[in-house]
Amino acid sequence: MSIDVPASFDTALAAHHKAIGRWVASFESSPARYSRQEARSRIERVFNSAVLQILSPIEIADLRVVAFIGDDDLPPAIAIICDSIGQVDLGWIEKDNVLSNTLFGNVAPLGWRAAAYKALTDTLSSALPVFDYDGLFEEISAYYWEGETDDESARRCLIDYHGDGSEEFDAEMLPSAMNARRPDWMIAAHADPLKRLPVELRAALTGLRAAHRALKANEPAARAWHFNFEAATNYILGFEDCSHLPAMTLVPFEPFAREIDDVARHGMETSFMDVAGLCPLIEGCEVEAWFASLKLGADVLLAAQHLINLDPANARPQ
Amino acid sequence: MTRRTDAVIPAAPRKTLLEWIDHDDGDTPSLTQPACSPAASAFHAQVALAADGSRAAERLQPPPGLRLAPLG
Repeated sequence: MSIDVPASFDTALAAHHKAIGRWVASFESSPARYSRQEARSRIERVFNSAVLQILSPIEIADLRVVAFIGDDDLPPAIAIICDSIGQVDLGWIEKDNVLSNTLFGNVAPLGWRAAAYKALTDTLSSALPVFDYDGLFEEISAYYWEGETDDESARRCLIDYHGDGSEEFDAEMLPSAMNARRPDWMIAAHADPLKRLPVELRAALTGLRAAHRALKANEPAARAWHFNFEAATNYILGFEDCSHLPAMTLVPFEPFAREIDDVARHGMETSFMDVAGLCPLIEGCEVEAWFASLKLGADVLLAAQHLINLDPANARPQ
Repeated sequence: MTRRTDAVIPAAPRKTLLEWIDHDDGDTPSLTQPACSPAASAFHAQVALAADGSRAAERLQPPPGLRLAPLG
């Protein structure tokens, strides 16, 4: 076909192309001229490469960005989606096998690992769809114990459900038994104070907390990492049927395999809550502010990644 | 493929990003009919139904070799 014949009947740029296109146009020094399709591609290319530049160093989760077109009632929006499912790999923090002392290097002291784990549980959910032990406990309490949290009430719920003396009844399903299964490094009280930690670990923890503070301080101006379930259902078809459970967890699978299996069943059958943030592009939260917020959240994830990769017990001698 | 100089369809317009964003309603269908030979125009007139429906009842004859009776 002649190149004079347009390949398709074309419409004007859509709302999300326009919103992002203004941002692209804002740093074009000499305004180039494009055909409509070239303009569309240019906007997509510039946006994609700017996003990738920020997200590509992140390895603790696979993140991608999706732009939504919106409609007459909804402004266009940008979402950050987490494609990873399962436990965040905690590296040296969860290494507590005695054998690993001889096979894979030294295990760091408990106080160090507990301090690192506490920092992750305090900060990571600001930039990842992730649930911690408290989140799991809450889900299990609703699932097995009708919202109760002490052993006696939980036992009553289980007996009501299974019957007295039933073989199904399992003392391991009581709150105290579940709490007792936590490895020591999951318990915040075991964390050493900062002054007793090695320099590089102290720096990594301070860096993570500082990145987290910076992200929080930037809200609510820019909300790349802000998530609201109702807003997401407006943009993502079928989202209301998905599980409310975040796609990732800081709870180790091994001691809590049954609990995680139970609360994650609906998510495995449909899909997990995998939106790290969804930001409607309304006045006051335009693309430039969104990018600033994206960068701050990425800094939190990179600081967490640095902490997980640190392995202070096997650091090179200074 | 080389572009013919006498091309009927004009080249796609080129604008800056902001012009595409602020002043563009998309392609609109053209009302001009494409050029047509007299024989083709006569054929179009033959098969097109008149606006008042006067020829609507006329059945088209099936082409030779078509086994099925035309519908309608």
